[in-house]
Amino acid sequence: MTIHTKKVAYYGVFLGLCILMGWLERLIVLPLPVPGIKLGLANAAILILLYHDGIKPAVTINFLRIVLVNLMFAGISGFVYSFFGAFLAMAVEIPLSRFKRIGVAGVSIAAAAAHIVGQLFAAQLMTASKAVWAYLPWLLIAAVLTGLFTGAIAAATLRYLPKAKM
Amino acid sequence: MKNPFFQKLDILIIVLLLAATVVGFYLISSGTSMSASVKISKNGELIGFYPLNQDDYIIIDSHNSVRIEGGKVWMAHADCPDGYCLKMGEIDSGSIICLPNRVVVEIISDVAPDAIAGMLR
Repeated sequence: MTIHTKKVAYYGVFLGLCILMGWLERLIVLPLPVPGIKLGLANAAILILLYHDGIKPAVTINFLRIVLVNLMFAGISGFVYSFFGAFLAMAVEIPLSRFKRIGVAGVSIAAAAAHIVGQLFAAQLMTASKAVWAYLPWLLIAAVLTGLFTGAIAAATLRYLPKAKM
Repeated sequence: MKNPFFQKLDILIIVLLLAATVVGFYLISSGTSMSASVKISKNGELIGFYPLNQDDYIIIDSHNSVRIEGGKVWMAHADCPDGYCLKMGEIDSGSIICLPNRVVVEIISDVAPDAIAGMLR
């Protein structure tokens, strides 16, 4: 396997973007009554990768992002939440992105919802309490809105990205 | 445009999620999924959450055990010298604390917001 300099630089930019988003999101606290709602800006970058470069780069960068962002800003418990969330999100968005009839918005929203289900599952494991699922309806509404938002960012960016594959 | 932002099936996804939301709110308001739970911790570490409406007998370790029955909680066994936790009797709100063994039994009606606040994307 040869490593192309162009590839390294290209994916490096995406990984850097993801880490930057992870940091940025920690600064933005949404004024909402329900805790735990985030925009999921890094997901926009992952969506762009998925559509533009395929499954393998998207999964790889996403995994590296989770490891690095949590090492830098959160810790082990953050890693567990991120991993469960991202795993389910990818499991949903990869097959959905193959459907011609589903747009970037739908994929993004479904991924955001799956991400929340994954995180609540992690929360259930951490607290040994099923009560955390009471937050699901609130978080699902948030997922529709934040999913639309990140999907719009991804779709707008994809329009301007050169078509050439790396 | 190769990657259209919005397609017809996207509406279906949104409708399904909002339907799930409505069902979720209904379940919460009808109280089937939400009720008070008993939180037990020792040395500040969580032992577990137990539903208050479900009879249970929890052996924390050889020093303490807790019984949940009929929506009430009490310390069923404690080997602490003062025995205050045993004297607190049956409770359906508040907490029982066994200071010598550092065991805390709390009744909480809310979900654990800390766990949700810890969720990071």
